[in-house]
Amino acid sequence: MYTSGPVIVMQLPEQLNRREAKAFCEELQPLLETDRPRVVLDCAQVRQADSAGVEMLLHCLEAAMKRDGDLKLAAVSPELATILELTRVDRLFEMFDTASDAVQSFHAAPLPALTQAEAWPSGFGLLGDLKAAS
Amino acid sequence: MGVQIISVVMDEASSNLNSAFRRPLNDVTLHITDEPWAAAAHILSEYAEWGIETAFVAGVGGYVEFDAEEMLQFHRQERQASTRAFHGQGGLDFWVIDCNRTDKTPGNFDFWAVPATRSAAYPLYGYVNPLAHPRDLRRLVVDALQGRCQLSPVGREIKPRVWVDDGAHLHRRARVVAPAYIGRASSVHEDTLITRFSNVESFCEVDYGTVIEDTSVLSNSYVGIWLDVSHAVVCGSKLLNLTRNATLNVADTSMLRRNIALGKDIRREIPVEVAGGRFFGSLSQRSEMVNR
Repeated sequence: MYTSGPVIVMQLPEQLNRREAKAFCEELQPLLETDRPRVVLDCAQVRQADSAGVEMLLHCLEAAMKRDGDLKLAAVSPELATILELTRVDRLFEMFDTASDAVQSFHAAPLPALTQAEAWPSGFGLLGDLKAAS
Repeated sequence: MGVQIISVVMDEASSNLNSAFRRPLNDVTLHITDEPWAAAAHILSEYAEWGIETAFVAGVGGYVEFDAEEMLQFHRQERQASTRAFHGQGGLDFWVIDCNRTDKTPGNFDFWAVPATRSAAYPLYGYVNPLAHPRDLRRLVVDALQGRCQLSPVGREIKPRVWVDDGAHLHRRARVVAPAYIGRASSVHEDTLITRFSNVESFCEVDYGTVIEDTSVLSNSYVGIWLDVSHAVVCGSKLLNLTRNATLNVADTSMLRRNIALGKDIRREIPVEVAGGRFFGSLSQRSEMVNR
């Protein structure tokens, strides 16, 4: 776990089964009980996930939302992405390629708009202060 | 740039739009006709008589970002009677025309003259979306929410990349995954999910428990309870599924219907100009409204 300002980044374990999910949830729970918790879960290490793991993610998301916060996923591994897609849970989360992108997305400060010529981020990119064409 | 006059030409079917403009049209001349392009050619002749040298002519269809001054400069350098904008695979409905060099016969100007015939081709490198199909609409929404074009959502950014316009009501238990847009005076009920670059336009209602995923809900639409609407464009009782390219007309008004409320003229409330920043106010027909 590491902090980046007020945004907490935690790394999910390789096995997201019932036992690991329970332990992870116990570790994360105090952070979710703060005011407006902002949490990023780094999913790069996840190789296996079952329904208990998915349930844990949903529980954490719900807990964060109840306190006007949010929980985002970063670097979602292909294995986890498949599980989330099959269970149609993926659409509940904002997902980013990297943890730093996810952390930055919590900040409201606008960034310059990307031009069409530039390479696009594959996930939810950062939006700038956009002005309509005049 | 010294714009002297603006003429808007529309056909009968679009004539209800004139009351939907957000700004007063004091300096705009409106022409309603069955043959808009012929009327436009006629207007060019009038411009020439009035001493107006150059005219921009634009067909309002797609969404185009361009530098008008640059195109005008190009036109002057090419010294042709007209210059048409081209992008990618074809010509756009965008011209710069020397009014006093067109055919003097009213209505005779050929907008679609090929470049070789006294017309130059201006290569346009800006963002273009033809809006020829609802799929193009979804692409424009996604591009706008991702900052790939200059179109920007209006309203208040209640959290990063979630915009909510005036009068919209978002239940605290509604889940809106950024980026997303909720339009003016729309209601999103509890336990709903708005996700994957969805936009809910003005005067809509998304009822309890419904999921809106990668979907545009156009103005004045009601989406019923516990539905799962994905990869679609919804307009009143019509749903176009973009994956299957199939349109459904849903007769069950508890599922999908036009959203109506008494005492307000929707036409005046729904802006139509994309350039103003709104996401495609639905060009709804005038309708009677009932209390919600």
